[in-house]
Amino acid sequence: MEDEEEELARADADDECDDDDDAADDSSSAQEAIDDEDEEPRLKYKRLGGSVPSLLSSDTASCISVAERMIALGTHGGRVHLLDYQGNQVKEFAAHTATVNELSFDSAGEFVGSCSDDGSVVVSSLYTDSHEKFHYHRPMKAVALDPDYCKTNRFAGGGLAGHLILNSKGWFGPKDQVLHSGEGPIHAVKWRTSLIAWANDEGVKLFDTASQQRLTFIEKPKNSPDAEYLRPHLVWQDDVHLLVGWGNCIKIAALRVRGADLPGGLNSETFSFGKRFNLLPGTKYVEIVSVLQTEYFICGLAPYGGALVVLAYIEREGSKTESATGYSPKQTGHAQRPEVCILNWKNEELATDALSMHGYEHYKAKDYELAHAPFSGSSTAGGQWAAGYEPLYYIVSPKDVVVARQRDADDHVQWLLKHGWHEKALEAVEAGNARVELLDEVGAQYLDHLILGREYALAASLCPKILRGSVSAWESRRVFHFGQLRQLHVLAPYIPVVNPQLRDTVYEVVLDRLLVNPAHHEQFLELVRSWPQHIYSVPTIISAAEIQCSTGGKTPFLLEALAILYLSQGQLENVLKLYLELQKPAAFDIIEEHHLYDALHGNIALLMKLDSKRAIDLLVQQRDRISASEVVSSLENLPQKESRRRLLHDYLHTLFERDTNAGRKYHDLQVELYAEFEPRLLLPFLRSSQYYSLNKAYDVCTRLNLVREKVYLLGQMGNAKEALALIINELKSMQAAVEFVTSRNDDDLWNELINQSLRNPDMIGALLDHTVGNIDPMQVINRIPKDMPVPRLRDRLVKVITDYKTETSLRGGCNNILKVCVSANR
Amino acid sequence: MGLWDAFLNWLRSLFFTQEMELSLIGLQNAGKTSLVNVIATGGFNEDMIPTVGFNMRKVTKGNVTIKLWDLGGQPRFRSMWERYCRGVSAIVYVVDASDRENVAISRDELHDLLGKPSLAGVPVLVLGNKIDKPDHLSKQALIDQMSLQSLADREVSCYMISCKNSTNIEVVIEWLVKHSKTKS
Repeated sequence: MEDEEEELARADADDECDDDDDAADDSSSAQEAIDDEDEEPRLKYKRLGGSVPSLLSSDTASCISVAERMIALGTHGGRVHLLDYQGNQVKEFAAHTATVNELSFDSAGEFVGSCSDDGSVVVSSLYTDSHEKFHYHRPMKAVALDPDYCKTNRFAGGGLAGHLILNSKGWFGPKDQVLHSGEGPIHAVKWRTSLIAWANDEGVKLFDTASQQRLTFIEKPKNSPDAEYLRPHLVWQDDVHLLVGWGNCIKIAALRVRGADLPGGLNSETFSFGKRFNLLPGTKYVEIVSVLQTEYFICGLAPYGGALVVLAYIEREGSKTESATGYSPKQTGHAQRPEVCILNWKNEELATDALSMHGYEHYKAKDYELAHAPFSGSSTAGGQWAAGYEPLYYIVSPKDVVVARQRDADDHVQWLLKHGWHEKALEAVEAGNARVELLDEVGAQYLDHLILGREYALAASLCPKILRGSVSAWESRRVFHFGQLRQLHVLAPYIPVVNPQLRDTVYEVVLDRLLVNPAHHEQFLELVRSWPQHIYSVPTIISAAEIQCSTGGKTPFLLEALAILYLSQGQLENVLKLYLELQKPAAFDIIEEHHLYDALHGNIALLMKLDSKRAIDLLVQQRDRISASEVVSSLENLPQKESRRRLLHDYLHTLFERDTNAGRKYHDLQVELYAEFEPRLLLPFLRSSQYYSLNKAYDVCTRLNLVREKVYLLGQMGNAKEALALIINELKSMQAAVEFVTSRNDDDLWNELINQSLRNPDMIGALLDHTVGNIDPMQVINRIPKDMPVPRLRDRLVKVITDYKTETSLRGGCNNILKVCVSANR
Repeated sequence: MGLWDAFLNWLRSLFFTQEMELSLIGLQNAGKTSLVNVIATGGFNEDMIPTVGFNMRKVTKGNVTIKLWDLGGQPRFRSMWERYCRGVSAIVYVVDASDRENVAISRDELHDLLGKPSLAGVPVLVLGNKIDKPDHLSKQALIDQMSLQSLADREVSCYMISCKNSTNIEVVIEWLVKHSKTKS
C-alpha cells in the first residue's frame, strides 16, 4: 500500500524530469515538485483499487459522487457504479445511454440521482430495484437530489435546455416546475438543506425552497472559459458556505441571515431601511467572503478544514496568450499533470502535489473531477481531524481514480524515516500519535541506521527504549547484530537481565566476548558484579575465563571477576588464591570466615605483602597449624632484605608476646632484631626469655653499645663486677648501681661499689644518698679519704643520720609492737 | 390478526416509524449474507457467493425499518469494517460456531475492531451461527473463546443461531428491534 502511494508521488518528479518537452515552464514546475519533496506533504495518494481498474479498462469515468458509506462513479458509457471505499463494486446500474454528467446522493444514502447527455435523469434506489427515469430530451448536465429525498422525492436538475427544473411528486404523478430559465445552459446544481445553488452562463444563483425565493446572484468571473471547456464547480462546504470554482477564480460565498448580527435587536431605522430595500430582518442574503484568483484552471474544489483543496489544471504557456478570448480546445498529448493544491482563504498555497494520473497527457480540464467525503464532521480541532473523520478526496480522470487522504501520524513518521530523520521519527512515535507497532519499525530502522554509521554507543543506549520487552528483538536481532560487529561490549551494559530476561546463552555469549579482549575485562567485571548469576551458567564462564587466564590474557579485572564467580560457586581456595594474587584485604576475611588456614602454607609471603600486621596476627594466632620455623623460613626468603628483617622482627615479637616458647629457636635472632629495630624492648625480652645465648646477646649489645642490656647480660653471666663497673662508668647512675648491687645481695659487690665510688667525690655523695636501708653508712663514711672533698657532705651526713635515727626508732617501735603482740598472744 | 389490527399496525407504522442501521461483520463464510436473507425473506440458500465489498438491504419488521450493511468478510475487506460500523445502532458479529479453528482469528478481529475509539459504546450482538452442524461450540464455549467477558463498556449479547434451520432468528430480530431508535 505504502509503496504504491510513494510511487504515485515520486513518479511525479521523475516524469517531469524525463519529459523532453520544450515548454519553458516545464523545468520550473519540475523544480517545484522537487522542492516540495523537502516539505512534508499534507496529503497522501493512492489509486482506488477493487473493481475500479477493470471497470475503467472498458469504460471511462465521467463523474463521481461520494456518500457517507459509498461512492457512485458515472461513466461515459452511461453506467452508474456503486463502490465501497476500497473501490469494490457493490452495484451497477445501466442507467443511461450516454455520458453520465453528474451524480447526487440524498443525505440518507438511500437514493442516487444521475443525469446524462441522453437527456434523462434517473433516480435509483439503493435498497430496492426501483429506478425512476425522467426524460427531458436535451442533455442534462446537472442533477441534485433533495437531501431529504426519502420524504420529498424532489430533485433539481438542468442542462442544455437552460431550464432549472424542480421535479417533485404531485397527486397525479411527477411534476416539473421550472424555477429559472433564459440564461443559457445549466452547468451545475447543488442542493443543501433547503437551498439550491446552480450555475448558468451568467453566474451562480441560489434558490430557497423553504421561502420559494431566489436569494442572490454571484456573477460569473470575467474571462472564464466556456462551460464546454471547463464547467463551473459548486460545493457546499457546510450549511453556510458555498464554494464556487469557475475558470481560474474561486469565490467563497457565505449565507447570512439579516438581523442575526445586530446585537441591539432591531431599531426602527434599520427596520424601515430594510423594508424599503426588501431587506427585512430574518431574510437570507449572501456575502462573498473571499475571492481567490489562481494561475490554473479549477477542475474541482473541496474544503480542507478551514482551507481548500483545489484540483488544478495547468494550461500551457503558449496557449494561454493565444486563447484570450476563446479557450479553444488544445491539441492533445501534451497536457501537464493535474495538481492538487491546498489553499487557504487568503490564497496562500500550503501544499501542491502533481498527480501522475493514467493518461494525463491527453486530458483537458473538464476531464477531471474532484469529490470529497465526508460532508460533515470533517472539522479540525487543533490541526487534528477527529478520529475517523479525516477527509477523503477522490480525484477522477477518465481512466483513473485516486484517493487523497490526510497524512496521519503514521505517515508523518514514515516520511521522517524516508528522509533519514530517525530521531525525529522516534520522537514522533513516542509522542504517541502513531501506531505503537510503528515504534518497533522506526526503532529498528533507527538502530540499523546508527549501526551503519558506526554510532554503536548511541545505538546501544537506545536499545532498551526501542526494544523494550521484546525477547526476540533483543536476542535474535540486536545481540546477534552487535556480536557480529564485535560491538557487544557497547551493548552489554544495556542488555536487560529482568523484564525481559533473555536466554542464558545470550548472556554467556556477551560475557565470553568481553573475556576475549583484555581491554574489556573491566566491563566484564562490571557485568559479573551487576548481573545476577542465575541468568547465565557460571561454570561455563569460569572455564572460559580460566582459559583466558592460562593463555596469558589476564588482567586484575578478570581475576577479580573470576574471584566473584569462584565465590558464587563456593570454590574458596581459588577465591583466596586470586585475592592473594590481587592483594585484596578480603583474603584475610575469607580465610578467617571460612577457616582456610591450611591455605596459609605457601602463601605467607603474599599475605605479608598484603597486610603484614594482619598476616602476623593471623600467623601467630594459628601458630599451632603453621610453625614458626615455616614462617621464618618463608620470611627469610623474601626478596627485600630490609622489609624481610623488619617483618621477621614483627612476627617474632608478636609471637613472643603471645607465647614465649613458640619461637624459642629464634630467640638469638630475635635479640639481634630487637637490637636493630626496637632496642627498648630488648631488655624486657632478655629478661623474659631463657632461650638465647648470653654470649651472642652480649656481643650484639656490645656491638650496638646497649649498656643496660650489657649490664643485665653481665649480671646473668655472673660477671657482676664488670656489670657494676659498666653501670658506674657508663650509666653514671648511682641509683642503678645501688639497685644492681642490692639485687645481687653480695657484700663483695658493695665493697666494689664503694671502692669504685671512692674515686669520685660526686659518686660518694650519691652513694651516701642511697645507703639507708641497704648498707651501713659507716662503711662508706669510714672509707672516705681524709682529704677528699665531698659536695654537700654535711647535708648528706645529716640526712644519713636522720634516716638512721628514723630507722632506729622505727625498729624500736616495731620491736615494741612485736613484744606487745607476742605478750598479748601469749 | 384481523383486518382491523392490520390497519392499526399500518397506522402506527406511519406515525411511529423506527429506524435502525446495522453492520453485519464476521469472517468470511460465517453466514452474514445468509442471515440477512433469512431476516429479510426467511429463505436459505446453500450456495452463496462470497460478498464483495458489501450488500445493503432494508428490512421492515413491524414498524422498524432496518438498514443492513452486510460487509465482506474476507481479509481484504476487513479494513473497511470500522468505517461501515461508525454510527450504526448495533454491530452484529457473526461467528461460524462449527469452525473451531478460526474462532481465535474471529476473536482477534472483533477485539481489534471494538478497540477503535470511533466505535466506543456501540452495542454488539455476537451470533454463533451454523448450530445445525455437528460439533459446534456451545454458547458458553463461544463466549469464552471470543473473550466476550472482557468487552466491558458496551452492551454485548450472544445467541446461538442457525440460518439454515431458522433457529433463534426471532430472538435476534427481537433484540435488533429493541435496539432501534425512534426516528423523529
